[in-house]
Amino acid sequence: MKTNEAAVQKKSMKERMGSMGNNLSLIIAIVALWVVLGIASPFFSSFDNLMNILLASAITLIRASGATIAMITGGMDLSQNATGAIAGVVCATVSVSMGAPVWLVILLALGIGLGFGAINGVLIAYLKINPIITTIATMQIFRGIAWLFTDVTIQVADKSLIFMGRGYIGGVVPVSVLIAFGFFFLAFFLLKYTRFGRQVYMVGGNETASRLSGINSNKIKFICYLISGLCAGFAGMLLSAQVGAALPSSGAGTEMDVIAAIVLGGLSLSGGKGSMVGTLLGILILSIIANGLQVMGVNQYVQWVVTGSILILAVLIDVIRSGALKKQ
Amino acid sequence: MGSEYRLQMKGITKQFPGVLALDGVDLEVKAGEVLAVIGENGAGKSTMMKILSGALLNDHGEIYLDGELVPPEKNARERLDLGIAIIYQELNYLDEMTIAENLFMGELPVKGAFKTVDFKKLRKQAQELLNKFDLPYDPFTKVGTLTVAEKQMIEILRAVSKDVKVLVMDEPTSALSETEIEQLYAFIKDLASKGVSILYISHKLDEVFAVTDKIQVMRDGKRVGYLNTKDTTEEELVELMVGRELSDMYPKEEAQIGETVLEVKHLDCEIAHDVSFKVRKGEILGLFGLLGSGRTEAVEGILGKKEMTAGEIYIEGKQVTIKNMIEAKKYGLAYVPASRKDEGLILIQTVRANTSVTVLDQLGAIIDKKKETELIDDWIKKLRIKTPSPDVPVDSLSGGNQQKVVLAKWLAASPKVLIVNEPTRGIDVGAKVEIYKLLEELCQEGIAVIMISSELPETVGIADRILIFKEGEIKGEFDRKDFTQKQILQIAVGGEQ
Repeated sequence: MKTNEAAVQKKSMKERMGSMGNNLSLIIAIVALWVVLGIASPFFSSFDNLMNILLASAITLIRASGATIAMITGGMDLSQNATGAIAGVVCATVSVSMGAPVWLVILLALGIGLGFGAINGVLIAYLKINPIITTIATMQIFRGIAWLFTDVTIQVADKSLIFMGRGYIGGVVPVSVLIAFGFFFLAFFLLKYTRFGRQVYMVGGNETASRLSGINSNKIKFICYLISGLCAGFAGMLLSAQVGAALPSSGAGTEMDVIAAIVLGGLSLSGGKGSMVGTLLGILILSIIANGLQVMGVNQYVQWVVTGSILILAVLIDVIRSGALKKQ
Repeated sequence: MGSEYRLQMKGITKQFPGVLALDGVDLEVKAGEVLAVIGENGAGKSTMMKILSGALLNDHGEIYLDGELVPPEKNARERLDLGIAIIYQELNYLDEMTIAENLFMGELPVKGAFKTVDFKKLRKQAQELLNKFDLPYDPFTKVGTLTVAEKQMIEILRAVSKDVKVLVMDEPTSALSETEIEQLYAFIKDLASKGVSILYISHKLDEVFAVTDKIQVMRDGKRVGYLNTKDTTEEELVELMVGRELSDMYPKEEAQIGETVLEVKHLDCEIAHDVSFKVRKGEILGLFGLLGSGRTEAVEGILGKKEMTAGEIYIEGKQVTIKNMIEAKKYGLAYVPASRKDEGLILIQTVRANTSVTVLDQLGAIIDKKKETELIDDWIKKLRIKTPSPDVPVDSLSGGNQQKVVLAKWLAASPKVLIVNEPTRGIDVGAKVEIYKLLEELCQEGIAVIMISSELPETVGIADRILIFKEGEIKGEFDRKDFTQKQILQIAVGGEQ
């Protein structure tokens, strides 16, 4: 019995190391990148550039705050950017042509996100359609709706909106970065400390067992897509405030950025594993690489090749570490 | 090199963590002989066959085929080439492909530079094989259109398409109808007459008498009998299978039995038909029967996990309808499913999360960590769960401790009726006794326990009353004072009451 207990202890230690190990290796990667890129280009490690990196991460972080929660249930949301495009064009229109106050615009963005998130939620949680298929389909539907709403670019003029998108607090910290961290902390808190967060992990870990334990797994999954939509809607509005204009095509083609960062952060696509800290680190790594390559004047296409390769490398390391190759 | 036996297994020993699954077991079978391997669940039949097929490695012992040693490192594929084939309970065929493709899967005849499938040759090969065993099917029929029995024969054909010497059939009739079983028997006899040795794993005694020449009885990882089928009787076999006297493994204590908590009337659910019973406070009601006898369906019908097509449920005298586990929980029902891994636990999550999952509502929207920790420490102590901390994945615990976590999670919800399905499956003897003790203690506290089990000794050991299921219906009821294992097993496996 004694040896048994020791074995249990040993294994659990190793497992604890495993879950921390992922975040730790991401932090090491960030530091290493920082040093290498800093040597390659002196501008890279300046404070201004750090803010650039965070600014470039802000929208992704808001989206990922919702998407991480949905993906921990074993789900997926590819329709976020399209939802954001609708929120962007509608909010910009309401703001410009009706002069709606900023709080109303924000509420509208959140409401639009919730509404379209609910569509995903019903399809996935209650009608049991595969989340990838569902959100590939709704991505197209929502994008179509954005184009049907308007096919022109709408300038954002409202001062408060512009301040949210492009303003700085004390002249140094971008407002949108602060907002993004607000979303991050909310999602972090939700996942780590609340009943709902616990249920999200349980449903993701084993839906059948969760249901048999009396968790309403359909409801939990539905709420996850509401949250994902909510984040997407707000991100879409903030993006148009950042750019200074809302376009029905905004965010098209970059749907995978969020997914890539989340997976890099150690989330398991089969569900039950993942964290907001991992997601944040994943986003930072991808932003740092993109920014570093930009600073060094490497062209956009090379950046895509590099980013994709890094993702494969990261996932491959994970596969090797889990021993899945040996099991073959 | 010649040998008296086609297959000989000598002194096979296998130790699992905490359980000695096989303890120096011998097995031998001659060419053209059909040998039944029988025993209760957990007797070691499947482990023995897994070792034979190469799916598991034994700790000690050797396997000889026609007198030649089978090297233990040979894997399942290589053993198949040697002539050892196994047909499992779950069949492995591809419904959307033809009989011919299924028969020659992995070695389809090819032609030309692009190695395209040579369908002409494939048809010819398949037709020859089908003719050899007088099976009247077109080789290009889709397997999906066949009946289960026909599929099974295709599966057997696939095994014998190679030069098979020993064919293992694991519970081959579990999905077959009467007439299909007859067909299968004829097929088995035909194979044996062609010199194939057959190991027939089963716990249905009527089948054993119908089709085998010899019988090997196993119990607790040992061979306890090796008999000629024609020289033995059902009684003798049952005695051998049950074996031991009830030892102090079952700490039966008399509990105060109170009023009825749960009553079921004329329930239909899938194969379970017209099931009626009551269970009272402080009582352990054993539902005994073989796999597929409808016990689980009856219980899952009550809990709303499966759809109940007829019947009524009363809890403390009030009629209720239960659509799912969320509602069942509200009425004070708790369910420990048979499969810890798939249905009982969320393996990758912690002991903490798995234990408090049923009482999250009481811990607030923002989880009261302190209250949760107290609750969990309490249950860890009460159930003597061995874990380094509540915050390790439940995955890292032993089977017995995992099972205790499942129990803890439901006991935390203070149920009126605790339904446990195969509560001691796959856990070692020490942990089994602890689970029995625990169930007894719960009865003392006035909980009603329903225990589904395929293990007769434990059912007889701790139940106050036993209902015997066979083919979806309750075929017998015994009070504790009237239990005899023989009688119960006879009703469950074949004979008449």
